[in-house]
Amino acid sequence: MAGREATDGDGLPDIPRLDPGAVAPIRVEGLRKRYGNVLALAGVDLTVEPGAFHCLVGPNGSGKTTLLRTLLGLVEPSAGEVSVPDARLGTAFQRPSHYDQLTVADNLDVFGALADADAAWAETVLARLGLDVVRDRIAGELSGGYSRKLDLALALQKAPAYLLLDEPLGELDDVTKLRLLEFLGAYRDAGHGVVISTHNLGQFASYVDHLTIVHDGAVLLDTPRESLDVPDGELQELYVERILSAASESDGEG
Amino acid sequence: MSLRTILRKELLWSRHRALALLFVLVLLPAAFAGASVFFQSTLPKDAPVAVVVEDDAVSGAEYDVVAASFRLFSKPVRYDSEARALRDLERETVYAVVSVPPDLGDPAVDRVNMTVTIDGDMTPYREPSGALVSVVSATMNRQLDTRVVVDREVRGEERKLASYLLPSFLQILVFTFAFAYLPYNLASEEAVLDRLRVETSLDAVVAGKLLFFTGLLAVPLLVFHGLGLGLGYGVNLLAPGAILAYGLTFLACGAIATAVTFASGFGTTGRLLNVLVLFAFLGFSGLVYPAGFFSPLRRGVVRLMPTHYAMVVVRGTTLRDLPPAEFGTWLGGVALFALAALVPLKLAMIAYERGT
Repeated sequence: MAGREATDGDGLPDIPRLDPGAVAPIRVEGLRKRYGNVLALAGVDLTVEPGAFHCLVGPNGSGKTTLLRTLLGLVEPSAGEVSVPDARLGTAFQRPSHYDQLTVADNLDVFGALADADAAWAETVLARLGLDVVRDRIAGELSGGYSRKLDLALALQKAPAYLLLDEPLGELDDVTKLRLLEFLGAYRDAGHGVVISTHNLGQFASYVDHLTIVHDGAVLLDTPRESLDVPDGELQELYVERILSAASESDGEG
Repeated sequence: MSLRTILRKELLWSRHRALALLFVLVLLPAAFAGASVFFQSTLPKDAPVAVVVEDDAVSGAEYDVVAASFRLFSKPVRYDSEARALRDLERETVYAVVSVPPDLGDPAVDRVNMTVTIDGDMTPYREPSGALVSVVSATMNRQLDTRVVVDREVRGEERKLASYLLPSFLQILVFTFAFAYLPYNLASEEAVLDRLRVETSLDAVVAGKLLFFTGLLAVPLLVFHGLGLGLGYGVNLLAPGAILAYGLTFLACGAIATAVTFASGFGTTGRLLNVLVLFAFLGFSGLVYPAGFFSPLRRGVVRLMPTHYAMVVVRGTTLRDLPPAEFGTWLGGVALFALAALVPLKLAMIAYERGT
């Protein structure tokens, strides 16, 4: 598996280890979600294994965000079963989701208390994401990149068994993206599940353990990375080809 | 031409905001114009007045004469006990108490004295009660051979309008806090709701918000009380009954405002609707003018508003130092109203969670 470098050596405390065998997988069977006349999810089957880096990839409007929100319990399915283990879930949404009027430290304090987070680990997250320099800044005044990092910190500070992130790299500069990817890889290596919803698979190519391509509310491809005989650099291309092929089939049927 | 393009943009914008514009330009003006029917006259022409018949010697005809003389400017209500009538005077169920004296219709009696009792704390009724006494006196002396002298008696000190208004202004602040500031505060935190729903529950978030803002009311309460003391108004805004009434009013109104906010998906329509509801509560809670003023229609609406009873409790406990137990039933009613307001709130939250 790619991207399994050591979690140590950066002078920062280790990520707490989790035995993936002790956590049940997330299972979705026949999941359908309808918003009025729009069928957002059209019978999705999916299994997310613990301790894996799972990418949900699809174009805008494909249903991946609805799928992620359903896993989080924020969307009530119209039909189907969703089984999320009784384990901690951490999340960061596409839109900033923190208290704009509070400082970074206050936000971490409030959400840390809600999640019963370990204070030492919360400090580690702050340092690892480079948020310690803006600790006392009002969150609403942060740049887009710091704002996103704060959301990640809020998601991480309870050391969730599964980390569910919706387009986590948006608005981040290239250096920060790289550091964050390394961190997410290390988090996976420590036994935690990482689920990414994105339309830019290329950014995560060297970390992916499992790939699910979603198109028009249905799963187009659901496979372990190792079963795909393509190098990391061509994963995005593979995804785009699959989507274009599915779109032309839909047009042909239409 | 750039102006033409900008105007075209405004037109396009208005097409996408049809519902909000319909509300602002049609529904809101219609509501204001329509509300004018509730304020048809400035004199309390049908304010309820207790006509007490305690003495068996008073005949039905004598009662009828007294009641008829009051009918021009009020709505006489028969009472058999003066104590009960005076209690209802304190509770603003009636605005004056008059006892029908015996021998009113006896031509052998030269002169009969009759007293109209009003409450000194009910400042807005003081002047109308003077007019009422003059009219009643003239009417009765025209109809009866016996000379009738009608006196006006004021219970307690005659309170100045400034101190009478202090508890009302605080209630106006409570309404504004509930229907304007609370929804604004909720909307400013809308983006955090999804995270909060993952970490805890929407119920806990909303309960926390309502309880915290109810607690915050302690600050304006203390400010009003302090200013009242400084100005020598003799108004005890820290009376337990008043604190309870203000708190329950805020909880009920806050729940309604929050329900509207969630039901509208934090949209502009919800904000505008909350403004409309705020005006309704301000206009029909009997905050300044008691229920018997302006029109029978308004009185009917005011008497249906739980917040009117909260205001009466506030006036009774702050202006007249009455114990909260005196208003136990009404406080219970306002508490029930607050509980009932949680039902639409819960439904709106369920709809919001299903819709996101």
